[in-house]
Amino acid sequence: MKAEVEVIIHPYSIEKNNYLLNLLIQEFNTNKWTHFYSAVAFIRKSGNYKELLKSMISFAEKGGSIEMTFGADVFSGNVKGSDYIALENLLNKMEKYQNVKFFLYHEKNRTFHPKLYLFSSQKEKSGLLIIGSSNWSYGGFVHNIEANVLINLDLEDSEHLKCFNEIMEFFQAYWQEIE
Amino acid sequence: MKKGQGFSHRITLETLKKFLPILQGKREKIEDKKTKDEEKPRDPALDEIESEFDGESFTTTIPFTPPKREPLSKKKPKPKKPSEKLPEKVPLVERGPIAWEKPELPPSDVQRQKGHPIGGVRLSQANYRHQGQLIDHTKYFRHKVFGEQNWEKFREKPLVERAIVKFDIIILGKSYGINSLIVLHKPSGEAGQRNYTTILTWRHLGRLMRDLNLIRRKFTLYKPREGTKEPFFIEIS
Repeated sequence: MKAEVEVIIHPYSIEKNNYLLNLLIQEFNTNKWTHFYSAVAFIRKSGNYKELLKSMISFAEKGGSIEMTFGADVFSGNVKGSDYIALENLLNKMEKYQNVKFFLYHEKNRTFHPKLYLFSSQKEKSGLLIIGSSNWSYGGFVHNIEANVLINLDLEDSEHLKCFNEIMEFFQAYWQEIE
Repeated sequence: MKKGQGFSHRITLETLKKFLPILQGKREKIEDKKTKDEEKPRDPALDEIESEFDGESFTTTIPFTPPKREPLSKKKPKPKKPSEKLPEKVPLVERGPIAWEKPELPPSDVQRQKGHPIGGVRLSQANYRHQGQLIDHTKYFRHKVFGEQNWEKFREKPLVERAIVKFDIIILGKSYGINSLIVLHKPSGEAGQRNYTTILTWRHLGRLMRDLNLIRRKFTLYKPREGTKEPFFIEIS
């Protein structure tokens, strides 16, 4: 079965109110999803939009599970990819929810560079996979020229389920601390 | 643990601080980030936290040869010394003996460096010998060469002194007449690694210096003719 696919390319799609920040907020607020996973290279304070965090808190309060992994890479000139303060801000707001977990990925000489966001619902047997170039930042969500593909997953379809499971395996095996 | 595992850690408010060496800190300014590698020693705390991420990396082999990378230490080729013939020199005004020379002006002395220009020539040692001795540039310019000028306190902390001095300037054989330039002396620069101690600022000639592209030209500073305090002479050839 073919997936429903959409492309959003910033900033051109913003005129149509179609951009990643808005999309994430909407999806967190839909009541459709039960899980959210992300694996994102860089997190910046500028990505912690009040409205986004509010929608995530509301999602978590309703029992939604959030598991996010960010890269913690150090580049030439001691430049670091992710902001301490951005993570502190997320933790301050959301650590109290047991179903919310944050992870840091750091591998020397290899950059953690995915930009992957995934909503899913066990109940509805569906998912929304977003893969592209957007980091968790103002640039990634709104300002930069970024390209993201949205793929609607039907988890009753074996191929889609296979793709979903594969991604979940990566999260569990590599991108989250093994407990 | 399998290959590729061991590089992810759960973070909580309690543990986040320990990861600070690999995160952009609260107080780190953009300017700090921009400093060059060699100016920043590697943070030992970085090694410590990196040891927490101790997995075994995936190894990848592909049937392609990667393009050759330039070794990081390879120096950029120096720009060729300009070869155009210099115009006939203008008749020289009587001048005193040579006080200092810099055989090759670096880009930073002539407004051609990347980033914010320094605005003048750093009066450094440049292997210059006075009466057979290598000069101590931290004192030589302030007390010997420009010692008789009127120095005033320009700034308190850190202490910076300045003197306005007249220079008769000839660049590539062309006379630019007598110009009042400012010589700044910062005693604290003596201890600083990358700081200037004495600098001759180009002032209104900054743009001209940039436009003439005087990188690798020779800079010669002459004292005023005997019995006079000014003007000094600058020749860039």
